[in-house]
Amino acid sequence: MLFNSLSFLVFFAVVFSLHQCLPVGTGRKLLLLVASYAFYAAWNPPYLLILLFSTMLDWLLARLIWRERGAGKRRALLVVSLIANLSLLGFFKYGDFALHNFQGLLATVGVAYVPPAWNIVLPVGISFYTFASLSYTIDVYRREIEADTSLADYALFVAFFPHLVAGPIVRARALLPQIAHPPKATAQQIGWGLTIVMIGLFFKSVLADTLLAPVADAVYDAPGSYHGVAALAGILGFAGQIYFDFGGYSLCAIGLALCFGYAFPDNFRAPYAARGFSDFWRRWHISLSTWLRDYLYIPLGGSRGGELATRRNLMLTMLLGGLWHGASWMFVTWGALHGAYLVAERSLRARFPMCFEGKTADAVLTVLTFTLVCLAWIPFRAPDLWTCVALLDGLRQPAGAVANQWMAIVLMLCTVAWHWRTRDIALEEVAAAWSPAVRTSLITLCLVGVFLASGGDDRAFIYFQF
Amino acid sequence: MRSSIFSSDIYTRSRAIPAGAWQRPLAVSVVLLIAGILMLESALAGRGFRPNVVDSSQRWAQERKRASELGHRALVLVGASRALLDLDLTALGEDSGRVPVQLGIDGNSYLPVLADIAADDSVTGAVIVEYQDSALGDTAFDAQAQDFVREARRERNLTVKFNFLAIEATLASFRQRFMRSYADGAGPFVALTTRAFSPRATPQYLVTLPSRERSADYSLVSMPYTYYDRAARNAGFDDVALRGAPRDVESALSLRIRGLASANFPDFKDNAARIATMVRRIEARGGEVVFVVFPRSGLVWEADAKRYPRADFWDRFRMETGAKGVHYLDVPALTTFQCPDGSHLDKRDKVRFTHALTRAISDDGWLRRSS
Repeated sequence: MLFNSLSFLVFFAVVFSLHQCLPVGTGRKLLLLVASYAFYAAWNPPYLLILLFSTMLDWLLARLIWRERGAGKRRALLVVSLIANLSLLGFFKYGDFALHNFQGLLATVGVAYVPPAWNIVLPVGISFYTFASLSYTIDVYRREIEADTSLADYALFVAFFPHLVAGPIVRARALLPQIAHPPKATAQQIGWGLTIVMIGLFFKSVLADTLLAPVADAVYDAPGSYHGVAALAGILGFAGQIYFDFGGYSLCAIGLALCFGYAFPDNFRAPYAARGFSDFWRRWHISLSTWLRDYLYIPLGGSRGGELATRRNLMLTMLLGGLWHGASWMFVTWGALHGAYLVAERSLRARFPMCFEGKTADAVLTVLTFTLVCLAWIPFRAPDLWTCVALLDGLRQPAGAVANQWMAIVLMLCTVAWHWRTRDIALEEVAAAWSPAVRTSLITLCLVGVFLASGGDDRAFIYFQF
Repeated sequence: MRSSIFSSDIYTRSRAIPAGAWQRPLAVSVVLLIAGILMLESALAGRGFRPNVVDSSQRWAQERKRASELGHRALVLVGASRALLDLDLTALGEDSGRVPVQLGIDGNSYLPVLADIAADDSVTGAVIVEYQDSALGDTAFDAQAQDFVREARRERNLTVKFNFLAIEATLASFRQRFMRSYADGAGPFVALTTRAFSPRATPQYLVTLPSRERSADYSLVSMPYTYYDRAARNAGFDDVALRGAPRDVESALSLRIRGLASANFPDFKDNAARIATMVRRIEARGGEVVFVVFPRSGLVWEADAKRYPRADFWDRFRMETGAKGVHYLDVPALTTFQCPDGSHLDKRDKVRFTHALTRAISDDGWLRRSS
């Protein structure tokens, strides 16, 4: 059930109305839990069992870890949780990929091996809820939170439908206390929540799906046929599509949660105006980048083991971050590029600190970061390296563009300008300055845009596949 | 820089709400949206547009399911646009005493669908097939019809019937039945920019009904150019200029059609044998299959007669398969119908044609009324 679908509109209307009718407390929580399971079952009901298994196992293991005094046993219990969760993720997400790579490996030594047909559908959202669930057991192991939550509360933390299938990857430490003492959404919260849902839907349906996706799809589907400005439009088009798609989804998730009184963290903060790559990763998919930082980069040693070890840790984190997005070497390539960017930036900052100061340096760094981020999106979107090469080759050959390609370029330039202007300001601060007339105009624009863009082929959110 | 301060917000438990009212702007916006939609619907109504359902593989799958569930009571229609446009299902139901099930697929060979129902022993009703000469050259079955058949099989094999796609399709269908903005599968943007306020908007002459039956009102289209366009497409000409005086266009098309060669299908015999096997399989379980050559007129008829001479195609098909068949030219009551676009009947002729066709079929002793 997509946020931009009619079925979700009906689903939300029913769940929200019932939620408002019930008194604050257990009834509301149970309603949200049942609704979240129904939301998940809409994709593939049998996969609800995997979600239930993962939930119950982690809840149980966390309690055992919390009670256990012996360090060895606690560690063993954590390893069980890690193995169980990552095995599920590995089997469903990387099974086919592993088999085909194994086949390729055997072929290099002359062994013909035909892997069995892999007809297993990836359970939607498994990457997101696995990471959310793991954050709980790890935090309990680290004694950062107590494992005193009830099974029902924990199940709602894992399955709460606004974040279930594509994040933000909420932390147990942030959401469980809210579930334990369910908040009552104020009229202001509901109004603002619905407003950001509208903005998110406008991002997704109008900007990502209607204006940018056709430009990007055309260029990536026939990379050798587009040159010069047209190829550039395709590259910028995808950079815009993925931002407005996932950024739009995240805004919807935050807004929906707010309608029920729950606070989710920001997932994007003007990423295309980032000053360097470390700054980019503080602005792009923040809930994933902080998860990788807290549960991978820092446990690997972070920046504590010298320059070489830091570089290794950065590369490993970004390679695995790339692989998290999907079972493909193209995602690993994207991760490798970002790892290399981070390592290079770190070295340059250490060697030439003066070059990173001042307004001119800031502007140059921002433009350079945006350009390199856009180039890194090429392997992320392209099905193979040949497509990447063809697209980059097309860029070198002068050629014009048609109207929708120019529009994609202009839209992206406006996006960068908007990010630049608001990179240190939260959306809430910007919105607070809007007069009632501006608020009404913007919400109407979003509603009319979403209505006008409806009725075509509904695209799933890009991050659902991850 | 704020970005570095914000990274700890991952543990946020409350969000700042921008000061000022949000409910009123939201309510006013919703009212404005509804007013805008009503204005658009009103403008579309003024231009003669009306809501209609949109055909899809899911809708076809639902009808395909009915073909199985109705058993002997089903009268299954297989074919392409003529099966969809020329027959009135209510009249067909009244005349045959059966429940019509429309499985026609616009612009597609009937072979994949006939193969699918032949292979399904639960389909035991009668079948009317819109005969297409071109289908006898179809060996690959790589038509859109294959996708429809696959979708229907996928839905049949679903262990759990509750699924998002089915719910979404039902809701979208409901919306399309009541809103002109979605007529013919268009979206509101197309309706706004090319229909509601454009004096040159193409009128909505084609309507799909919930039963998948279609109706064409040719009084709404520009004639004779729509007819020339259809004749050119039917003959496979994509390089004929359809501008200029009607007489000149007609002469140019006629000249090209006279030069058409007869089609040569090396697999004709094999395909005919396959079709015969399908027919026998349906008949073996009590079903009945009748092939019908639907009317065509003018240049479309001329082009078909040149490319598919009756003796080499229809007559040979009947002989090779031994199948039951009705050719409109053999039934005087059917020859009186004129196709405005050369290929399909106008909606005003559907009922009369359906009665005439069912009479012709029953006169031959086929498709007797179901008790």
